[in-house]
Parts: sequence; C-alpha cells; structure tokens
Amino acid sequence: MPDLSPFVIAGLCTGAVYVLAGVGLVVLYRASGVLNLAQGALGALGALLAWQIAQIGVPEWIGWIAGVVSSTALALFYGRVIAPRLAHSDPIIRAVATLGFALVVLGFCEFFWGELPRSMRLPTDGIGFYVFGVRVTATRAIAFGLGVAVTIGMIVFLNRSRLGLSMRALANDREISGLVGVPVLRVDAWAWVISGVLSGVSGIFLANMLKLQAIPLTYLVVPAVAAAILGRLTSLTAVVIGGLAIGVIEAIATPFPDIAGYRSATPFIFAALVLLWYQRGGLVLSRIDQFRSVPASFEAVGTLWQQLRAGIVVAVIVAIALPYVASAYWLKTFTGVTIIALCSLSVAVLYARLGMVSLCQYALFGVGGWVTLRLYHGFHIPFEVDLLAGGVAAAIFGVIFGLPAMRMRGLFFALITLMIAGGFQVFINAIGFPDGGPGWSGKIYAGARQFMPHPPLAPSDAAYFRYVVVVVALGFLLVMLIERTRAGRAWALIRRSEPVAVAVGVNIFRYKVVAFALAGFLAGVAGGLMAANIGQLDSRAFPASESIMMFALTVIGGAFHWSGPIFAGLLLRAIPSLLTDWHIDGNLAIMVFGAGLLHALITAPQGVSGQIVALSRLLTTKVSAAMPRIMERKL
Amino acid sequence: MIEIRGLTVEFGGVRGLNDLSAEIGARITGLVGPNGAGKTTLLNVMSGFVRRSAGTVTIDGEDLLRIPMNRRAAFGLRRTFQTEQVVENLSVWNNVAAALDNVPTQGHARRDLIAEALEYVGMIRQAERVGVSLNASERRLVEIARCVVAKPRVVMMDEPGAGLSESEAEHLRKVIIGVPEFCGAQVLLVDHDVDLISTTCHETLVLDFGSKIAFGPTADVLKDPKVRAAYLGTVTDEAA
Repeated sequence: MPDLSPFVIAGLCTGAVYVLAGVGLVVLYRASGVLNLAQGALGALGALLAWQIAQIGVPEWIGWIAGVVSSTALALFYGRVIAPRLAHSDPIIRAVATLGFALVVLGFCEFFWGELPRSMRLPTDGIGFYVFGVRVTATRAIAFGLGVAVTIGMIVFLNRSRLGLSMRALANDREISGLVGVPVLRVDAWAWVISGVLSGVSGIFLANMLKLQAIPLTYLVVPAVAAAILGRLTSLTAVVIGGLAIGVIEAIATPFPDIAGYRSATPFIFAALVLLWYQRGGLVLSRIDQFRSVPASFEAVGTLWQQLRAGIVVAVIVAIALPYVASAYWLKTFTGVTIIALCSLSVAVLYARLGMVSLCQYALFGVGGWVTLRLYHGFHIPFEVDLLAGGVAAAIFGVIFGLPAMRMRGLFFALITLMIAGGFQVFINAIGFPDGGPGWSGKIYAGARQFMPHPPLAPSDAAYFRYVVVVVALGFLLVMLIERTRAGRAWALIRRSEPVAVAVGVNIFRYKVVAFALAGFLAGVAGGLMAANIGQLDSRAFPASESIMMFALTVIGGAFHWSGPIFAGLLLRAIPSLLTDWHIDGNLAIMVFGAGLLHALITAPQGVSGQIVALSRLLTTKVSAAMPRIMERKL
Repeated sequence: MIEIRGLTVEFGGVRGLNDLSAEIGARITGLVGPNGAGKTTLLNVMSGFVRRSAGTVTIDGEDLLRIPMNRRAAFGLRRTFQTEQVVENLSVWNNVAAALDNVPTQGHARRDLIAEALEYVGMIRQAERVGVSLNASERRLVEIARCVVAKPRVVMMDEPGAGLSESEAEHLRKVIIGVPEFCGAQVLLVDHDVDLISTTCHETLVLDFGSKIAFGPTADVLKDPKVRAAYLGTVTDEAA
C-alpha cells in the first residue's frame, strides 16, 4: 500500500478549485435558472489571455486581472444578451444553449492558441511548506483557502445581504419576485458576474495545477457539475463536499497502476452514483404549465406519409446515382454522412419525440462500433449479426447507465448523458478499439493491426454505400413505425407534459427507457457501419465533445423532419472535408456550429430542414397561385 | 362515491388543504372557492401530483392514494387541466387513442370506444385534424373525450369553461351534464363561473383557505351567507 497522504493533499487542493467552479455554477443556477456549461470554456479563455499578456512582458498580475475580467465580461454578455431570449424555455434548453456558447468560446481559443500544451506559472509555485511531511506549494494552499473562503462568503452573502436575499427570491420565482419589486435583470446580472469571476479564477488555478489547454479546461466544468449534482444544483455545502471528494478520489487513484488510467472518470462515476441515490424517491415530474421542453409547432414538417414518400424518393435516387458521380474520396465521405445521419436520428428521436436531451449518442455510436469490431475479429460471424449485436449492446449500455436519471427531471438526464460521454472517452482511450488482438479487449500491441473489410454482400465502396443507405433507411422506417404504436403516442404525451401523461396512465419511466434503448440501438448500428466503412475506429476520435457536437448539429439540422439528421450528417462529415480541401481552420466550423446551436434554439426550433420545408411549401403555393395567370397570358 | 377523510396538505408552513372531509355522492359536484382555496390542490392530490400530509381519499371503497399514480387512469380516475393539454402533434383520434392505450377496454373494440367518445363530445368529424390546428373550445372537448373513453369512475375537470364564447360554453355545458349518463362516471367540476356551476352541479363543495366552508345541494350552498361573504358576494354584485 503506497503512502497516500501526498495524493490526498494534492487532491484536496484540486478539489478546492472544483469547489470554486461549482459554487459559481450553483449561485448562477439558483438565481437565474441557467446551468452554465460554458463555465469551463470561459475559465480557459481567461487563463489563456492571462498567459498571453504575461508573454508580452506586461506584469503578470495585470494578466490575471485581465483574464478574470474578460471571463466575467463574456459571462455578463451571455447573461444579458443571449440568456434572456431563452428565459421562458425549459432548464434543459437553457443549459444546452450554454453548450453552444461554450463551443464558440472553445473554437475561438483553439483558433488563436491551438492545441499546444502550455504551462501557466504562478509566482507562488516556488514558495512551499510542509503539511504532515508533504510539501504544499503556496498556489495550492491559496487555492484551497480560496475555495473554503469563497463558499463561506457566498453562504453568508446569500443569507445576509440584500442582494443575496433578492437572489434567493429569484431562485424561488422570477415573476413574483419581479412583481414585488426585485430588480430581476440587475440581480440576474450580478449572478452572472459572480459566476464569471469564479470561472476566471478557477480557470487560472486549474491551468496552473493541470495544464493550460483549452479543451481540458473546458471540460473542467464536468467535475464542477458533478459536485453541484450532489447538492441537487442548489446546496453550496454539498458542492464543497462533492468537489473535495472528487478531487481526492481522483488523486488517490494515481499510485494504483490498474485504475490510474481510469481516474479521470471519477466525476462521471461520482455523479452517476449520486443520481442513482437521489432517484430512490420515485418519479419526479416536470412542472405542468410552466415550460414546454421543446418548442411545439409541427405544421411545417408535413404528415408522416408525405415525409415517407419524399424520403424514399431521395434515398433511391442518391443510392443509385451517387456512386457514378462521386470520386472515391467523396464516396467514402458520403457513406460517412449517411451513417452519421443514423446517429443523428437517434438524437432527434429523443429530442423531438420526447423532449429528452441526450449528449452521449456519439459515445453509444462508439460502443456499437467496439462490439461489432470485437465480434468480427473474435468470432468471424456474419457482419449483419455483428451489426445487430453492436446495436443491442449500445442500447443495453445506454439504458444501464442512463437508468439513474430516468426518474429525474430532464436536466439531470441531460447531465448524466454528458457524464456517460465523458466516461466513455476515458475508458475507450484506456482500452482502445479491437483490431484482431487476443484477450477481452481484442487489442494488438505488437504486430500489424487487422482491419474489418466491407461485408461480403457489398464488397466494393460503391456497393457498401448502397448497403449503408438501405440500412439507414430501415432505421428511419423503424422509428416511423414505432411512432405509430402505443409507444409513439405515449412519447407524444410525455413530450406534451409529464403530468398529463401520468394522468392518462402512461408509465413515463418505461417509455423513456424504450426510447433511450431505441436511440442507443440506432447509434450502435451506426457505429458498426462506420467501423466497416473505415475498417477500424480510432479511440481518439471519441471525445465527449463529439457527442455534444452531434446534439448541436441535430438541432441545427432540424430534429422534426427526416431530412434534419441528414443535414446534421453533412455538417459533421462533409463540411470538415470541404474545409480541409480549402485549407480553412476547422476551429472556425466549431465556432459557427456553436453559434448555429444558439440560433436554432432561440429562433429556428425546426432547424435547417424545417426552414427548407417551409420554403418549398411557400414556393409551391406561390407557383400554384401564379400558374393560372401565366397560362392565361400564354393563351 | 368519493369519500375524503381528514385530508391535509402542507406546502412548507402553508396548509393547502386543512383536515378536509366530505362524502361526495352526487353525479356532478361543483368545487368552488376563491383563488388559493385548495380546489386544484384537491385534484392534484387525487391525481398523485401532490403528496398529502394526512388523510385518505377512497373511491367506491378503494383507497385511491395507495394506487400508483400512473395506474389511476386505469382504475377510473381521469382529469382535465387548468390550461388545456391536447397533444399538438397527434390527431384528435390519436389523442383519445393515447388515453385508451393505458386503460382496460373490457372487451370492446378500441375503434368503437374512441368513436363513441368523439361522437359524444361532437368531435367525430374532426377526428383526423392535428391537435395544433384546434381552437380553444375544440381542445377542451378533445380533453373531455380523453376523460370519458372506456368507462371511468370519476372525471375531474379544472376550469373547463375558461375563455370560451357563449355558444361554445353552452355546448360544453351540455357535454358536462351528459357525462354521468354517457359513461357512468361521477364528475368533479372546478370553476369560477357560478352560472356554469349552478346549472350543471347537483351538489357543491365550497373551500376557503383549504377548509370546507359549505357543502350540500348547489342552490342551498350558493345562498349560504358564509359562502357569499367568502367568495360570491362580489360576483353577484357584478352580475347585477
């Protein structure tokens, strides 16, 4: 048994920074109802700016202040300009919108600073003292002190000050608070300022204690969220306990080689266990009459039969024609687009039919791919069987890990799916995708990797493209069929409002599980198809951000119409290929996608597909109205 | 027969319902009282959305509050909500079908049950229309069709008449009056419209601050000075 005390002390200090970030999340969530998932990205921006300013020779302290001020200013900008436009949406939508903002900030950081790891030095790093025989730098001591002081300060502030009282009033009911004279917008702005300052400060500390890189810092919102979940997003005391616990558990796993590779999954596992504990209380219903989870307007997308007809026509034309016109490279790209469309469909089913936000569908895609590869390499059974097994495995995987959140409100479900995506990222990086090796992981460490060929039914690239179109079309048909059964009607009720669904006797838990299993199955099958498209999957291609991107692009593409997932596939697969062709930095695309998500959530809930359908309908009515006049003139 | 015994609901320190007891046996019973009197709270306790602190509710001798909330529809408890809750992306027919999915059909063909319910509320000709295209009155009627399909025991309506025109309200009134005969259910009707209450309800229960202040035949209750003082005085003044 190694001596754990240095790890415990280091963990407490990191944990204290998680606490700082978590306090920011909770104060803001309580006051304004927004769970700011962009908090990590704002911290990253602050830290990078602070570093940049120190580089050009300005005194470091000016850099720190500038970093914190810029994080704060951006938080305030979002809080005053963008957040109010979503003030009447469901908490999930408001949280997901901040992911759009996070993508914009992250894309900006990556564009300017790139992925080079940098280090953030603080003058307090050199000063140190000993606690129980362990050396502690002054930076870590200050971080710990600050974490404790800020939490106590915040609790006193919320309970004693006038502004704190107003914040608690807002947390209770915004409209009534406004009516009794609380200056809602001003109090709201202060909450954003507090959260912005805390994100900047925690960003700088974490950049120093871990590494100065935009992506990891952006994801440091995850341990903060996990800590906040312990307090049901409202209790500050619980944030302290949660943050410190996560920091310590992460750190004491370090000296154990068997689990050290998985230690960064701590926040994900922690949050999942906490939710498992909380859902014992039984079903928690969303409040009736207060929110609509997804904007409701269906007129623009047409009836099922209209959609089906158009979809089949497009699928047949594309399947026949594309292999003749596309180059080998673009044919493979379009095979990828079609496969991603199936994965996007799995997001769309949950979002448009039930109002559920799943941020882990790309991870489930990876699970399906893993199982398909493993079965193919291990047992050489027919590809179709591997594919189905991959789908089933992804469905089971998703349901097992998503189960704790099924009885909770939608926001918690979204968060746990984010945790699943993050956990999968850690595990897949540790075990890799099977490539014909021995053992349960099927990984080759020495020797040539084996590739999975196209299935015997479709050996050439052209044939495989058509094969994929057929399988994906079957996936779309499956969804349409299930929508017409009692499950589909139950989904519609749940989406309308959970209390109404319960009142007419729907077992909400059961139908949510059915939907999540179906979505997992579709994503898993897509993963298997992708494995056979490339022959192999790359474990580095499955960060949690891909799942978030998947969700963002599905909303942008339009979740209510069959063509929406196809637009999402094009955006995710074809646009990056185009950008590479044109030598444009892909980080610009990330910024545009982030902005696109915000735009879609705020003003275009039906996404690109909804707008196109509405436009084509407008054109047909105009043309059919103009036709008689044109004919008359000709006569 | 709905028997309420000692029903108490507490929200923090506030009592939403205060030791309420009543034996509701009339075919249509009105539930009136000023805002915050506990009318909707009573409905929500019966639906299972709000937890009681004490007391029981039995329907036909069965302890309602012991039934899991999503089984209460199958047991025979149905309701409408203060703001209409038609599913906008389902057709009128499927709105009713969605409700029928979770209740026993007792050997009847589903098609017939749905058609009868829609026929009863006068929406059978609109069966193929999508929820989103319905107006306020049609939405109320679809909600009532969801409530009366397949032999319920108790139908609870929360302000179904709000915001309807005079002719629409007249049709709604006929529909409500006919519910007990159509499907055999008892009706609990919450509404502020005294006119609607007095023309449809055989008995009326008046609540104020979570307590029963009057209960009995509607005409007698509405004459009760306590009731007029608590609630109705202003309304009759306006009417005059």
